[in-house]
Amino acid sequence: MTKYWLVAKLTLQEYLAYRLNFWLEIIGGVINMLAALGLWYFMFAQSQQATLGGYDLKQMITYLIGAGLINSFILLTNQGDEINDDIHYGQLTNFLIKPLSPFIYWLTRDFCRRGITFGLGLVSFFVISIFFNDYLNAPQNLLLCLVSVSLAALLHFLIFYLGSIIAFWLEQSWGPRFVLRMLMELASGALIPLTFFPEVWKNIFMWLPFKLFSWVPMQIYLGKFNAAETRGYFLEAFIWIAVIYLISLWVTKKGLKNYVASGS
Amino acid sequence: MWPVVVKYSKILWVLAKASLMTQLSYRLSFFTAVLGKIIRQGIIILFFYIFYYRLPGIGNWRFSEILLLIAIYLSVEDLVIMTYHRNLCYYLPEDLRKGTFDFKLTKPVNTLFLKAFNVIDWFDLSAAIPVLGLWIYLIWWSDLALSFTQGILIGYFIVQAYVFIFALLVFIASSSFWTINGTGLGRFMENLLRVSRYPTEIYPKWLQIIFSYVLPLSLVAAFPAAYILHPDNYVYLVYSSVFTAAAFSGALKFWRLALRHYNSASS
Repeated sequence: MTKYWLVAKLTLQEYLAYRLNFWLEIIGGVINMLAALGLWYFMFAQSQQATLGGYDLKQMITYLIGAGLINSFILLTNQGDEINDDIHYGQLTNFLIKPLSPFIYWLTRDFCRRGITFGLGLVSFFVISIFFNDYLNAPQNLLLCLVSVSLAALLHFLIFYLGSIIAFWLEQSWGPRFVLRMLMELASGALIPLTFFPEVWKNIFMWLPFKLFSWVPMQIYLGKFNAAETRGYFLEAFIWIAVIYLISLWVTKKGLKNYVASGS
Repeated sequence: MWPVVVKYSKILWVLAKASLMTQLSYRLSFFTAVLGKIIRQGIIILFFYIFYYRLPGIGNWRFSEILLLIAIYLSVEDLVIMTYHRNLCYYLPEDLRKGTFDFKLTKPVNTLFLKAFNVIDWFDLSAAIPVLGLWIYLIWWSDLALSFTQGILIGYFIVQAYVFIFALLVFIASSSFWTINGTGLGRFMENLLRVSRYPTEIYPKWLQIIFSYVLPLSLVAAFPAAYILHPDNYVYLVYSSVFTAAAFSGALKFWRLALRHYNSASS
């Protein structure tokens, strides 16, 4: 365990070396979120309706800020690049000859990175909260919401891990991962709550695991699920995690047989 | 003047060919990336469609008018991402950090040109098909009935936005000569540009003034679409052109100043 703790410490130091980088990401995120909030605020003011798509103004603003915060933790844009490069450039060989599990090594680094981006997201959240303090809903179940976000992060890592290790065969897996990211952006409810989509789209999204990333945690936060629904989604998350983990193990085993350590 | 244009066009052609060869060396990744880019553009259109399908629409904009705004935005975004965006936002800071920028300085070509157009992103060129489809829809099937003069104006606005964003990027990317930016710069610019895809009236008055006059992101898509539909704001038309020209000239001066500060520490 100590070795992975060291990996975590070194990863944190590595990422914290680029402080201006972080500030630029924070400011960019704040600007983007303010634009989205501006749009919804305008929609409510213009329609003069108390609710739109089942959300009142406070719930919508809380949803957008919360989903934005979760996205800073979940929707990492270059997710899987490192795994792809380690395979593509043969750096994986270094892990194979050491008493180190590449899977746990990548998972540790991934969660360190998530921790930092989540911290960035929190800073953005507080900046935006200053402007929208009167429009924020208090959490209905913060603990369950945090658990669902943690499960979502693990599931997200596994999905992209699977998307990255196809580099054993393709050498470069950026394209498939980009498609995955785009689908996720749409179907996770990060841009817009899923209830706003046409019925057919919504039904398709409900069959996919992506809703567990933003939409489900925010429904739990806003108290829109009862206990049975929450349990159902937690069970679904566990099943997805278990299935994708098992598939990943199998694909990794097959991939390692195909690995030629080119470039190392 | 003409030989210079020919020379730089030839260089651009060679760079584009080299980029295509590199990107096509991973064919499956290339074609899936193109698919991803097409989906991304579809998401933007779908996002606005929802505001008309489930909601009463955005201000006084009809859906076809919003489509015009999106078409202008996506055309500008495609051109920017295809050419200088990654080169200035991601590859320039990386070159400076690794010391590989020195090689660019030794070439008998303008360094900013070489750096800004070094890698041409063919993913985005291939993914421009939906944007083309959108334009075809707007010209032939929508109720906008765009005229030839409006077409020329659209072309002018797209070029103007392209130059304006270039100037903005050169200003921001030049900061890499003093600081370590990493990927934050690119993310910052991407987030900033997203602001320009909404009509300006959704923002509070003070923000409308900022996005119109101080950091005129509205000249990327919102103002061009509004002007083409209702050509009455001549003053802002002149202002946006003058601002773009001044920003471009200022950016070149700032680049030269930044370049003088380069000490090649990493090499």
